[in-house]
Amino acid sequence: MEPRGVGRDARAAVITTLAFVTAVALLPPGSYVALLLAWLLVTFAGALLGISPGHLARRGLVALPFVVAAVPIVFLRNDELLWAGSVGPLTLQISGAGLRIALTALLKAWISVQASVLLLALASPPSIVTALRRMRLPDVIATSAGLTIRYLELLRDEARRMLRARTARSASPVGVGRERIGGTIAWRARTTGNLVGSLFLRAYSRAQRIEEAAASRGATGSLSVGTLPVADPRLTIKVVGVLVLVLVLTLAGVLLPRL
Amino acid sequence: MTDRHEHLHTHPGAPLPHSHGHDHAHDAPLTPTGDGTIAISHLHFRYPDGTEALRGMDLAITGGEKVALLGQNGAGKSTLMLHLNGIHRPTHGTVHVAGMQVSNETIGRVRAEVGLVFQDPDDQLFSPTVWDDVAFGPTHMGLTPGAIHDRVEVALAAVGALDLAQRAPMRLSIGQRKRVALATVLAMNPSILVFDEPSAGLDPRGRRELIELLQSLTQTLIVSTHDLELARAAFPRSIVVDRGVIVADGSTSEILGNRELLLAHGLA
Amino acid sequence: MYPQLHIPDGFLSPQISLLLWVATAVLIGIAVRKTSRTDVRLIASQPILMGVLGAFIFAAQMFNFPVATGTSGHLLGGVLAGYLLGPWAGTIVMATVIGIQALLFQDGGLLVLGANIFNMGIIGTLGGSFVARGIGTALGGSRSATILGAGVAAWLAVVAAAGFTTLQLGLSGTTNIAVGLPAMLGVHALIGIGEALITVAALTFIAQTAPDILAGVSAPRKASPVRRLAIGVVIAGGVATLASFFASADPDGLEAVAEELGFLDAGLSAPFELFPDYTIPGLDGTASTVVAGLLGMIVVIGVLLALGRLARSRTKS
Ligand SMILES: Nc1ncnc2c1ncn2[C@@H]1O[C@H](COP(=O)(O)OP(=O)(O)OP(=O)(O)O)[C@@H](O)[C@H]1O
Ligand SMILES: [Mg+2]
Repeated sequence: MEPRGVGRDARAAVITTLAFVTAVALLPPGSYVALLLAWLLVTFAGALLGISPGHLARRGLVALPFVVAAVPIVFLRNDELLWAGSVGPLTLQISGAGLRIALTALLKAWISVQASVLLLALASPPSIVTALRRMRLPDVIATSAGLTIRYLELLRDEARRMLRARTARSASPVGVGRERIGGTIAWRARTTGNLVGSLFLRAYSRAQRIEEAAASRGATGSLSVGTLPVADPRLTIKVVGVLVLVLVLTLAGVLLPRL
Repeated sequence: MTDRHEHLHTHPGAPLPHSHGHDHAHDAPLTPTGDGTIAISHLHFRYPDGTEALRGMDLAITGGEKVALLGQNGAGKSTLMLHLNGIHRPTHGTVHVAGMQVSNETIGRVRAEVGLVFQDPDDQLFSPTVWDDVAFGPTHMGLTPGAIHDRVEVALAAVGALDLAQRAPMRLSIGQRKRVALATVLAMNPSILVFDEPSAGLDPRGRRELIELLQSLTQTLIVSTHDLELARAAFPRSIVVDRGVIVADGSTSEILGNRELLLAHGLA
Repeated sequence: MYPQLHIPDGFLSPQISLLLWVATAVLIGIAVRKTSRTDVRLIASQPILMGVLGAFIFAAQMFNFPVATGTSGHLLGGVLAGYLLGPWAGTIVMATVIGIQALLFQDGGLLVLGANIFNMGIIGTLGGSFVARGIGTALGGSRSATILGAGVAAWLAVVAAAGFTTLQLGLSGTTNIAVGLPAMLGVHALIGIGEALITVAALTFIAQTAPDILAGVSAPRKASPVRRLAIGVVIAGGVATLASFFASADPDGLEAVAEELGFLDAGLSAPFELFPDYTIPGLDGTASTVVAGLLGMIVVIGVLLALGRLARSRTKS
């Protein structure tokens, strides 16, 4: 695999990731063996890129909290009851089918996140935007996305500094040691709105400066998104390879045992 | 701002103008509660990216002292100052301010004792009017509306910005914004004031007024600066920081007179 | 208390994901046409402003305010973006932000990106902005009226996005709509208040500090009283319909739809049912489950160790 870079055609990487994530999504509930296979693929690709499996696994955990959404079905489905009983005043039951769906969703999320972490290791954000533009993403969106990515860290840094300055002035009443929240909720919300408004004005004047700089360099109309990198000559082969991989994974979902 | 300097000398605890008739009996607006001391021992700090910004600092400052913090770019001045207010916490070592060790147990009071003014006033000011911005700290501390009103007025008067009260901070000049940023912490009535490069971007008159203001303050004062003349004019004591350690600590006139020292640490 | 609206991959069925991709693509396509035709009202180059404001929305989502210990209010920013840039450009900016969140921060999945853009970008921003305009006009079209409208719309946008998210999860069989919907709507009714307060405060701040910037955008429009009344009635009717839909939520009906889609799902994945009772030969059901689990764990640990070494050697070379 090629290292990431702005000048690369990242289409193959983008297509692979999307196809892989789709194949994972297609696996039916309980196909743990196929999911294991999918995870092996991701981890192996990661290792080839020099990313440790532990690191990838930890990154995958960002999706963990969403499993709350699947909690109701574990307790409310009536099929394959694993356990039913009462806890205090509550009568509870645990559905095997619900548990299977929740666990499968969680594993799919965990593996898919790792796949998109790999995409970032393969292709830089601007090259992903360029690849998407080649794949018919409209120019307005590509330009806007490119600029958003370029100014993201700058504005997040400004936001961080503003928050820090607010924190420095957030003292507790005289005599209270631990941090104490001050003012009414409405006042605090208004303060936050003020921060948002201030940041907007800073962003707006930055946009104006970029505009002026672009104009002074003779740019007209929309900002050029940059020239496209040389097309990947082996794109077709790679896409075919990806399709084979997806097919294998899907077949694995069909053929391998499920629990 | 000179004509309003009378107010400055009301620090601490002098009677306040009662022009607004608010009842603030249970709050003596400009009386610092702490003793203004700072004690730092074996302070180490590493940023998350691994940069060793502070590498073993020991420092003792008594109440009411005025100390200039000198050092070249990247020496660790701002990082040190962010420890005084508990924004950064030591990787090793301890920081005590006004007799309290900075920790989660004391952080609410530490922020009340230490007024930190950041290098860029734009980070500090976020309200639609100057008045609202100066009122933020006192409001967060839960003071009564009357007490808040008095504190804002006194603080704005102290920096000579009373006439800017209803202006939008974003629409002020850099010098005006810097003064308002000072007022936002003066209004919290801290016993320790920490300013990060207050003279940067000021015109000669603004700078002169700043020096007068610094001279008139009675709180403990720690000011980082690249402006050696400012240090000479307002700070009896200076500390030179380089690569995360204190390399000199003494009287400002001696330190500024030591050309070798200044050259060795990028100050001249 | 972050809004739980960024669905990760794996929680929506592929059918629902693809359906929402199509819907999103069509609407974003319309937005692109609309924006390229809009006269540029703000500064000369709208793409520059849109790009920088995308980064702004991103950063603004970091601002929080404490509600009580451990919980804080946050901004999603859809209606704010719509107010500042107009509904269509605002929608594109939010879609871009949501896409970048998925790609760069794994906040929300890739196959479900269409759904996430649909919920937060189309419903939350496009829908929200039109509701905001409608309310603003109905209230007389002054600056403060439009800002108030944006506040109400911001609340509705968060609640509606949460409702749509839950419906999609329910139709995918990953949640129980009868329980999930009231829970999600309840939580987001609170989160929405934070959204509304921050949106109103931010717009008020901008209107006070830099009225010139707002002058071009979302220009207060004078509407005839009759038109105002009509718009008001339409909005009230819409809100009432939505509210009653969510309130009564006929959970059985929705559940039935979900089940039907479930059957559809089963139908589509029929080939997956080739070996429904597959067990490891020679072992009964429970034992084979346990053995399979153990085998799985051993494989996982072995792979972790082996690949860890491979990764280290790769990094060194
Ligand atoms: N957020 C950060 N993350 C990582 N390293 C940092 C960060 N902030 C500062 N540093 C590093 O810590 C060291 C000390 O920086 P600091 O800002 O304290 O210097 P300073 O003395 O205030 O310099 P200046 O005169 O330029 O303001 C520098 O090497 C700097 O690069
Ligand atoms: Mg500094």
